[in-house]
Amino acid sequence: METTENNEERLIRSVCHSACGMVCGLLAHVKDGVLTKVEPADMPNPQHRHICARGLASMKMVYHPDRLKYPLKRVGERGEGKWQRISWDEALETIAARLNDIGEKYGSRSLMWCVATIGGLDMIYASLAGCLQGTFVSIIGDGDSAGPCGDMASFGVIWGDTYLTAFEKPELCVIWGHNPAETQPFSMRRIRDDRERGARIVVIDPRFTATAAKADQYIRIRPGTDAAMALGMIHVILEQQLYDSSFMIRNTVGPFLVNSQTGLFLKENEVFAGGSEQKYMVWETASGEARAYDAPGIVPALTGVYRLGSIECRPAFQLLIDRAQEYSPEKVSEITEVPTETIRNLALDYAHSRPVATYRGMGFQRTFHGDLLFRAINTLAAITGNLHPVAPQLPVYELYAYLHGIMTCSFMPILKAYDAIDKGDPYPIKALWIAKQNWVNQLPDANRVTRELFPKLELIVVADIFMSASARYADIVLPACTFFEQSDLIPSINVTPSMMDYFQLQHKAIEPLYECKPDTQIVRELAGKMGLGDYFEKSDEQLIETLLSSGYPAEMGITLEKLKQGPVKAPPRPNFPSFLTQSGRMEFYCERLLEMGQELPCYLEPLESARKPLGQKYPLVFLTTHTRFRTHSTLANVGWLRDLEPEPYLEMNPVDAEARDIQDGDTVRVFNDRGRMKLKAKAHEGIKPGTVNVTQGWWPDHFLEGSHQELTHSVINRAQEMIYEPNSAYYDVLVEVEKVREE
Amino acid sequence: MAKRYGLLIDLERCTGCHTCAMACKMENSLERVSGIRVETIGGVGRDAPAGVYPDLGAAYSINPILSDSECSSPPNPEPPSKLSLAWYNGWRLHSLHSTRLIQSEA
Repeated sequence: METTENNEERLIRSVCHSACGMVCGLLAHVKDGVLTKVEPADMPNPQHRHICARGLASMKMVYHPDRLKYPLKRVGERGEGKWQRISWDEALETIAARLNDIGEKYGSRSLMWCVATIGGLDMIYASLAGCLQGTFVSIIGDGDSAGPCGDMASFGVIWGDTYLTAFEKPELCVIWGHNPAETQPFSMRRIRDDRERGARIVVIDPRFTATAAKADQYIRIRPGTDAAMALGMIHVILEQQLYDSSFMIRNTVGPFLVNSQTGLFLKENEVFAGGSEQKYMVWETASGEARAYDAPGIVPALTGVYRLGSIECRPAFQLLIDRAQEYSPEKVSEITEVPTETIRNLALDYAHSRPVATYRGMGFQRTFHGDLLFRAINTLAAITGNLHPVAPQLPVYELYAYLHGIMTCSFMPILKAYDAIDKGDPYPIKALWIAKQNWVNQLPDANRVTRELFPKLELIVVADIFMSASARYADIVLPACTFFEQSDLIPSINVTPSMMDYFQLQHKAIEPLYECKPDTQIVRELAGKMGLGDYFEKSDEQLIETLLSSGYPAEMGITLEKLKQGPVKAPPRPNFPSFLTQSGRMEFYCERLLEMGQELPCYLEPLESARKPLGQKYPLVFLTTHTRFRTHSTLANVGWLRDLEPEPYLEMNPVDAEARDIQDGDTVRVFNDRGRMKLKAKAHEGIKPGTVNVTQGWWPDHFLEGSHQELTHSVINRAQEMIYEPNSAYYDVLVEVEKVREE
Repeated sequence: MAKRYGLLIDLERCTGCHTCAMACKMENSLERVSGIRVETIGGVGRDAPAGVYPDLGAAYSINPILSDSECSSPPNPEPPSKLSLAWYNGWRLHSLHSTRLIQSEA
């Protein structure tokens, strides 16, 4: 779609696919069909006209010499790198025949698609999976589902950031396990604006990040112990009675009575014959009676132990007080390695500042109990009344509902797919199609994937723009398009206040290069060969209209015609509820987790803790943080960015380096029972002793040996499975490091 | 008619994101070099802080690195024009650091 004519140069609106979540508008300059420049596109709010190094450098993927140019068929062993060029017809006919065979032999659900995208149309793969009654992977467990499990338990939504951050003029900003200066630069702008309006900025992180460099206070914490930190702060606030009781009574389950024997909320029908089985009960101190929470004029008790005949019960808030008793600042200091006074002072500051914005990153929730740390932080915000009680709205998820119009596919969390492929649990997966995703590079336990999972698959298809680590294991590789070569609808991903609450069109800026095809076209043509062509007749533009024709965009009057004029703001729905939990309130007490003993937030030692026996063998906590020079594995091969960061390096504290006779710049081997990687070491004071880090997303080629994902694991946390979706605990990994001596 | 571009950078807010360095490459079609280098003021190497915990600190500086003569023949068919690169520290104009070259737009 042409928006402006300027001699021969055309200016075309696109949207950055760097997938940091910001979805910045991009303006592509095209001369004679060639992309010559990109710059930030105008947005309805001029402050949203922004771009970062990744967005600018994304242009360099397009004409990269390593682009996949035509379909390839594997001729050697998987992973051997021997290929033969084939035609699209041969590629798609082969795939169609194999999918039919495998579906017939093992059942249609054994066909699986693994797609990670911010685009609406790329979800056409789910339509294909639906048509074939196959399986579609939910990719959120690729590192991003533990916090959402915590938010699902607390708020009933998976992305609850706006509850904790949507304040106009915070007095205090606590940036917790989060490095927006690198990962979401425009979120950092908001934080800097807050600071200039008087907010004090505190960063809690095991690393002294670019974000920490801009803070008023930096608190260095032992990785994976943030739930203890929050619980220690809760302890201080409750002990000094600095909590906001009216907020607790109005917005949380705090006053609701919990049966001491069952651990379940007491309901009206248990107290009065004929009472409602939905109504929560509270204790009215004035009358000395249990009454329904919504009885007119009632002033419920938040604390105490009460008796109703044979039933002993307590308000949930009393249970929280009892739990918090266990987390004295002294004990928490021992767990977190943060000084007692620092914990106490931050708790007091948190209680006395109004409002407090709490920014939670996705990094620290990549620990095995990442859901619990979100729940602990949510609870800290709740008891001090620092929750903005309006549920966030996520139209992005509604859009995909259109896909079910055809037939339904089975959805499977990515970590569950490991066991499905490996052990046939809950059912076997025998064919895998990966698109816009890089399993071997970006998902945990790469050696398990390549040695145990992939050999059990009878077909692997990868559609990508480069020969990725995953594409190397494919039987058929299909050359896909960059986002500059295809149109799409980019929905609002407004999960933090700094993100862009717009629907935007991504217009095709240039024609597909070589023999590359957009994913929509690949699916259309394959469907034709499988006799499903009738289901895939719509053009990209018609598909976008379909996406817009129901749910949120239809309600809000967001049409293709409007979008052609520019981005359309996605307003909140009127009269939206505060919390989407069963109680309609913030639930720091979660009945569903009773059997896990996690009904209240608590601290559990990381799965791979250096304080456990495994720490004798592997004493260093291994992190794989995100960098400003890549988004995931995308852009890792772009020269503009590689010039700034040419190769991976292991960050380690000089104390740990010296103990291993390692000098800055030495080559080191990092290893555990699962795998290893070899790279240069960088010793500096910005990382906590006992912790090492390499930024994630580097390709195996970029390491001297191995890769970071050989070291990570795919262990499932059952509590997360019960609430939402289990997460990959990339930051809950132990390793040892040794110097590589020249032989 | 050539435009002249300047960069006004508030170093209090600069997070070392390198977007300016990328924009310089983009405007000048520079492949391997940029007219702007972002440097960490701190320990040794990019993003490494100075000091020892709890007294850690780091900041960023934005430095034009190409001389006028280097920039007069960049790998770019169109001749560049002058860029005034200025920065200010906090809210006060600190210094006009240098005059260097970045391609203009027609």
